Amino acid sequence: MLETSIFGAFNGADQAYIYIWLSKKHKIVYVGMTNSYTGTIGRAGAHFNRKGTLRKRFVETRGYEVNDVDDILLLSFPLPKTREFTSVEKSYREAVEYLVQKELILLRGKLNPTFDVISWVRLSPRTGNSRIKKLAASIVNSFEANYSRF
Amino acid sequence: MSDKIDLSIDAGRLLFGLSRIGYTTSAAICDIIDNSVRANANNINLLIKKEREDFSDNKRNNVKEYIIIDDGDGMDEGAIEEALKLGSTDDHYDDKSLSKFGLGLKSASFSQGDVLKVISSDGTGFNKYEVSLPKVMEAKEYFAEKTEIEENESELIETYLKDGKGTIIIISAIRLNNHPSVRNTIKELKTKVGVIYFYFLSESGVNITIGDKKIDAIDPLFVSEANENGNLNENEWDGTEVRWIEKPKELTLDDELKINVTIEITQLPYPPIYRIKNIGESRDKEVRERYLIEAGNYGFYVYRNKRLISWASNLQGIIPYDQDFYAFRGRILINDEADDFFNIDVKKSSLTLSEEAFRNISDFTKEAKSKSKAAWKNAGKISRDIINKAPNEIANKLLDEFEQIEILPGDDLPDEEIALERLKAITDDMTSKIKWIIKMMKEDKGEEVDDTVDDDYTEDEKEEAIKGEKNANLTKIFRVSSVEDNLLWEPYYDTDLGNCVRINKIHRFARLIYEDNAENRDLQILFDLMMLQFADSELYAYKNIGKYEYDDLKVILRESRRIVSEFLANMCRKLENDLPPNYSDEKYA
Repeated sequence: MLETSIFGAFNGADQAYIYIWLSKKHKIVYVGMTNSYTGTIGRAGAHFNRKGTLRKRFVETRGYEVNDVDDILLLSFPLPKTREFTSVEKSYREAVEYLVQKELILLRGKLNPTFDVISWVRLSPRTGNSRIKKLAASIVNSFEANYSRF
Repeated sequence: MSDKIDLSIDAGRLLFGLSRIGYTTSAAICDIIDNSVRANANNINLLIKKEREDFSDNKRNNVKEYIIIDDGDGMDEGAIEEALKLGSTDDHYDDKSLSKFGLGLKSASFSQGDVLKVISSDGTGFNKYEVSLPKVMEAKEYFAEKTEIEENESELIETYLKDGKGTIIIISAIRLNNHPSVRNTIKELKTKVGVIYFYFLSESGVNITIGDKKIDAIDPLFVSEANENGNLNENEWDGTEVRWIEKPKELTLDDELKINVTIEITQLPYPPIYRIKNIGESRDKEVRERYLIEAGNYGFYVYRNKRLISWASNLQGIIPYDQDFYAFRGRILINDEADDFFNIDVKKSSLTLSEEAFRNISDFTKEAKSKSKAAWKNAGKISRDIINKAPNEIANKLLDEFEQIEILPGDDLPDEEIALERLKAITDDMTSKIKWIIKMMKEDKGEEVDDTVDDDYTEDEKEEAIKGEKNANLTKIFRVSSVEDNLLWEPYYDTDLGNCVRINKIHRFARLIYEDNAENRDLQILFDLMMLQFADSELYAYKNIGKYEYDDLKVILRESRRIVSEFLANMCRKLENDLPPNYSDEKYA
């Protein structure tokens, strides 16, 4: 029997997230964002189905299927509960996502084990916004501070 | 009189050093293809074997072997041994050889893998030789081993060399350290091989295939098109056609030695013009790809004995690093007599001009450079004239003489007292909003802003924040980077400006209009005007619809604006690749 404990990442009704999929054994990180009603867990399905972006990028990078990975971890970072971040219009979320990915690329060499960032994110015109920069920095700091215990 | 002192060579370290002179995978493979071409091969096949066949072609570090097979003259045992020597002689080939140092096969092969195998026959039977870099390094002496032809190698002979002659080069034990993916190597080779062997592929009937894909010849100057279109007039050229700048000219580099080279120069298209040439048909990307127009591809293509030895060289600065020369394509044809004027490196990837060559070519190309740059700039001007008459300013200007309807038929003019009350409420709301607008502007500029907002701002800051820029020509319609809650638009009112609209130019729908359809000026003007009417109608309701409370109206109209903004963002997201200008009639026919 496989037991999977999931909590705290279902609520997407008034909450958007930046999320990071992490496998330390296979040294991959995948960054994404969602305003899905079902939170980051709901969004996961789209990443792992046959045409899922995470699945595809994983095979391209590693050469084998993500099915073989047994240590994958989902980290969810709630964004402010304001319209800019929860709306269908996603330039604010995309900007945070881009900056988080960029910072993780800079950070990866300093962490042990190191990892490849396999997600592709869009550049948003809002990446120069100071509030967004602060948010992205706090997410990356939190990731870095907790990395050793993941 | 001097004594001769023997300085021994460590063959292992020498070979190791030779393997690290900086070949890219495609340059290494092309160097080996050179040997096939000079051996009079008609068919050259490149096979790439993967380490794990089940892994995707996109995976890096997954190449097991590169196999280059040609049906050329082939070699007997003695010739194979000679070819494997460092600094092998080239005596048995004609003077049009592509070889220069007798190092290419070894340096190229060991730049990619640790083991080089050569299987060849000149019609008298196949022999196989193998050189292993680790073994040479261990023994500190350079040697080859004669080995048995294996079953899979016999199959290659059966398949590709039925006439009993030709050569198979196998590079194995590939160094899987940041080695490019199969897909990237093939993609690069298709272009590189097409350009490098342009003359062999187009004139000599040589076929080169990668896997089962035949490589087409690519003329980097697109001379056949220039022949059709004629000479460049830099003051009239609109950037849509390839033109001649200099038809082939023979240039003498040294009178005494009778060293001549041939130079020709064309001007390739100006891609941005293809974004706007035909509305709804953005072909600039396609044009860039077709004509290889990008940073690394402009300059001179130098062919030695009809084989490219220098890709888009700036010839030590003769062609400046400047985007205005992107369409400049020159070609210099030399033969081996000019080698001393064009010092070529072992990789055949770069060259250094002698002083005479530099001076001659630099002087000769001055006019061509000037023409190319002037033509590029002129095409840019034509393009800008078409696409951008500052549609936002035009939309604002159109409103100079425009007067909105005071009261719509059927609506009652509110009492003066109520009207003044409403106007005060609107003005108060807008006044209290200005500080938030300024805060958003500062955040967008990357400035650190406290969560508390400051009432203390200058008139300049206010104007810039409301309009998105300080511009006296903008009077009613403002494209800004932030609107409250990231909606598509919001109304703005003050006593100086009257009813205005602030359009969120980063909202997905606005980007569709302003960026994706940048060439469609009329669409932008109409969109700007429509947004103003939406904002105007909201302000009209606040002022004139007295049967509803002002606060209720505010909530309802704002909610309506939010829902419209979200629906439009969602539509853009779902139909991303189908909306104009990407819309195609064929898809929906």
